[in-house]
Amino acid sequence: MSCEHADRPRLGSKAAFPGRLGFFGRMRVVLASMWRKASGRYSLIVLAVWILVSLVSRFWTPVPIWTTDGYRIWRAPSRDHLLGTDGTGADILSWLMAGSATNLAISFLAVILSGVLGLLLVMAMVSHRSGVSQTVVVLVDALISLPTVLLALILAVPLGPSIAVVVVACGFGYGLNLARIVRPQALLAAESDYVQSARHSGVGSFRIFCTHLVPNVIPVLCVQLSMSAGTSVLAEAGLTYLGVGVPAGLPSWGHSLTTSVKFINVFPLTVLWPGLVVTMVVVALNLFGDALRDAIDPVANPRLRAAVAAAGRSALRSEEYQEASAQLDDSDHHVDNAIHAGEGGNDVAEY
Amino acid sequence: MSLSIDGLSLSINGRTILDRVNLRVADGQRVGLIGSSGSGKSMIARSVLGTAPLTASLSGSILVDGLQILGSDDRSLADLRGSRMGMIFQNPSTALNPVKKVYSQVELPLRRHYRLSAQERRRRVMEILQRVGLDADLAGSYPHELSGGQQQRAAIATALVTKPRLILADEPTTALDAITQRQIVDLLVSLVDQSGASLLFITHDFSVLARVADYCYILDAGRLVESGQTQSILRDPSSPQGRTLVRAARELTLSADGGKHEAD
Amino acid sequence: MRLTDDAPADPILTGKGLTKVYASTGSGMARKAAVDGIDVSLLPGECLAIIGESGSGKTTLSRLLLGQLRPDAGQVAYEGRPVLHGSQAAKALARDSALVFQNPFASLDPRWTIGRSVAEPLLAARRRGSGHLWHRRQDGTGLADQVAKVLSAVQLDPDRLMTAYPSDLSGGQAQRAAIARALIVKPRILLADEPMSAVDVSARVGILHTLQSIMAQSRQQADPSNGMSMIIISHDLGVVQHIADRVMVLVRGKVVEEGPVNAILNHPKQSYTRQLLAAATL
Repeated sequence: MSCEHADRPRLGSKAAFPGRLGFFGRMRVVLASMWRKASGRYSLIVLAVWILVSLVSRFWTPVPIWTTDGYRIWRAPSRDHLLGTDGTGADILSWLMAGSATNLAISFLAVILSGVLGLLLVMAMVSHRSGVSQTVVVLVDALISLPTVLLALILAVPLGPSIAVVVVACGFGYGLNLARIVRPQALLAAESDYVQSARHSGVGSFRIFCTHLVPNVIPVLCVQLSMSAGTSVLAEAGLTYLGVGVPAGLPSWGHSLTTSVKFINVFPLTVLWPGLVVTMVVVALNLFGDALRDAIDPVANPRLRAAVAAAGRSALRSEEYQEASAQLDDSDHHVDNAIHAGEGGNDVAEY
Repeated sequence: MSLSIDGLSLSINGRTILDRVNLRVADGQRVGLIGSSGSGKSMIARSVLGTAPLTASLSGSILVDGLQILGSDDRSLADLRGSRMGMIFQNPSTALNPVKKVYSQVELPLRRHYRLSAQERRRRVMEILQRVGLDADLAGSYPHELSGGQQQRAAIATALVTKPRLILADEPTTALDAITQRQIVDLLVSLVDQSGASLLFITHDFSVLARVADYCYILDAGRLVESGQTQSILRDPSSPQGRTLVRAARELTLSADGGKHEAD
Repeated sequence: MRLTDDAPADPILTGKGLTKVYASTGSGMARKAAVDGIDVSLLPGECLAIIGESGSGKTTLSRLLLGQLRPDAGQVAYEGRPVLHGSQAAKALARDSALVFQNPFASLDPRWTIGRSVAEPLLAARRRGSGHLWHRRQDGTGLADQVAKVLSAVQLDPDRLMTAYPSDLSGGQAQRAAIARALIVKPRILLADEPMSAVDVSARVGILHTLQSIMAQSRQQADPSNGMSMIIISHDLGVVQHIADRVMVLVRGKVVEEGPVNAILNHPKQSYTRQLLAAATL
């Protein structure tokens, strides 16, 4: 997305090209649109709490995480330990809070890595040199058969258990998947008339990729990347259980699960809490992807279109474009109506 | 089979698509319905077939040979579709199933609605293919192997193989080129006349409509704005929408002597 | 308005013996020439209509003429210079020509505003001119003005449409926006490939009038030999009768009839042309 913004035409000292809604203005409309739906609201709240807790846990947890009490192990929830204690007598809530930061970092880095890798692969796959595109397609198909777990095990040999193993294994696997899923959409755009026109106008391939292809695959990207984030949370738990994930001593949700899962028959609550957190977050991430897709895509979101149109119109009104619109036919009312009739086109102005 | 639509209104999510439409097709009559895109004309056809979107709320009455369509259960409507009512769509390349051969697509309505022997089905399919002007050896080909005109012929064969008494044609010529358009329209008219069925022909183009329908209705933004004999509307349209459509048709066609060519 | 006979200008674009054969996909199918030895020339300021049914090779021919496809035989020349792949003439031809497609919604990026789509060719041209392909602070001076001007020229309201997305437009408006996008770089050759087929009849008239007024404006320029030429592709004689100067009828990759539009309309020589005429009467 970054390159999409980089090439926006600047009008010297003037505000911007009409139709350019600033990044923050755009995000405000997108978030407001997401908030309108229950699923979007849930995902936003959970994600906000996740991020907030991660930040807070760097400085404060109810009980310092390394405080253990050998006399108070496997305790049920109490006033001192809201979610009880684990087998070392450490506070479960504090460990979950501290672990959220690790998991957030893993998800974030895995998403970035898979997004960058996926888009690079897609760029190669839609390349005009059929040699390049064919090779990459075959390569991706071959590599995709490599299981994430196997990759993590291989990586763990030189690296030992570390966050990097989880991030690279997830980012690599999901990046390949992303490339495969995005490719048909990107090809559709690459073969469209608008790309043909752009190419005829002399727009370069890289610029076409950044400005035409990427925006047109953003709906798929949203869903895939948010699912990757969710799956990476699950993968962290799995890999940590296998001993190749997050190293001992670094709190993570996977650790919270691993240390107590052996005693699930005796102390089920200690497994329930991290399991609940992981489930809530994964569900929220999946819903987030769907909600973001519906909100960020101007084709699917009439409120976003209306906001862009409103921003552009006010920019135009302040300039002297009025004389240009002197000779017009009547059929144009259609658009105005469409923009205003688009659900709640009017209340967008309130945001 | 006669079709009688009275006060049909249709709205989706509070947006009015059709507003109190009254329309009649008498037994054996060919009637045209004309309007620009977005006027709701396809929605009338879908309402008659009982395939309007699930989110649509309908009111009014649609009588097909005295049978009330609105409120009928899906089962009885499905029995009606394809047997006594036939439908021809705008784009034959999407209306035909790309992975099925022409023969089995034309045969499908017969299998669905009648208990016939395989030989009898084959006889009827071959007969209708011949009548729509498709070679017998094309029966074994897939839709993508046919030209646009041939695809539309196959679609017409599918719609007519059960000898329906009411045929709804939704812009059947729009996706075709000029000469093919003429051929398909003439074919449709002759087939409908031979079978004595009624036809509701939906289009946005008066030059097509004039060859099909003696009587026509003009639809604009979900409301009927004019109706009458096609020739008299062509001569003297009374509504502004009618005037626009007639003027457009006149401008984009040659006059009969072929010599009317003005410089700009 | 018509070009006079006394001053025959040099053709801006010529094609000699153009042939294009597509590799057959199925085995055993004969290799069929989509375009089979066609000679064509386009005069400055002229509007040439290429008429034919689908599969007659008219789109292939037009892409050959614009240098987007390489002919298997024959040669295209732009202003007398042969258009070879990567040559200066090919670059000049690409720079001086613009395309309008059949389906307006496919030719505008659905996730770009109309204004941005229309401005794209102009920005690309400026980038080329400045040599700074990735210059961040581009010279955007007057960009909005120029977009507004060209939108007005195709009878669209810039105030309303510049910031609208294609999905908010009717088919006719979207097609006129696509025409504006083609016009903004002031092309010398405008190729319109079935520009009216995908919209309904009343919108067709609007687009026709737009194209007519564009041609009229370019003819009123000081130097008529520098006016814009147009190639319009259609399957319908009735649609092009008011705008074309010359008509070329294609059947299965070959020209069956060619001549001034009046001659074709009044005295068609081929039976196929007569069928076309019959199909275009009310």
